[in-house]
Amino acid sequence: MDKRPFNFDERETRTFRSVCTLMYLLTIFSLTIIQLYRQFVLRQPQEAWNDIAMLLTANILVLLGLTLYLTGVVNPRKIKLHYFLVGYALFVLIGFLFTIFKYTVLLGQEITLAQVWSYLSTVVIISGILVLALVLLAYLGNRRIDKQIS
Amino acid sequence: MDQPPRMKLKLARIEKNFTQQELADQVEVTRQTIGLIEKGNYNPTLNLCIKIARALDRTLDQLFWEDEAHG
Repeated sequence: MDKRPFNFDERETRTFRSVCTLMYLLTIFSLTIIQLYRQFVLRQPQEAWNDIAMLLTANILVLLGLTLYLTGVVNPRKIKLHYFLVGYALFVLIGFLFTIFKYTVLLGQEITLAQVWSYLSTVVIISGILVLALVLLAYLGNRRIDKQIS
Repeated sequence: MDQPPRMKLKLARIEKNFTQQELADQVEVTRQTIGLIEKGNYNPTLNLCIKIARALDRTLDQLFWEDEAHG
């Protein structure tokens, strides 16, 4: 008889991973609520919630990037260029609308046309970098899986 | 052997005179895992199926293949 106090077999490991996943999602969800509450309800200065915002951003990006790389589930070579462009345009549109909504509705600021262009160019550049990085990771992940099975 | 897979496993274990704990020790899992497999409440990985089949001197088909009547 196994006398070890802890003997994680595959079923327990699987259960433990499910619990970890659930707790990760709950933590991310809670941090998002805390960050939004501090930013828009308490109107705290950026220094008060910037660390949480950066943590959340890094977390989501690493989660997406690692998932794409480690699963190799997306093969960018089989996606047509216009789908990329539509995806990128959607990325930019959502980011831009959220930025405008944030400054005008949530923060109650009046923004000039020059500011609108400035926000748009920032969103275009940042979205471009993110989309390119994710596509690159997807490509590398897919190639890695192909190499493993060839 | 026209039994559902969980019964096949239990019968094979009993024929081999193994308790759940003894089989669990042989295949390096907990007794609870063996119990849950026998009750049909846990789907083991292929690696564990192979270990169990070897420990009970059966093939994977004999232990885990689902007959159409029970599919």
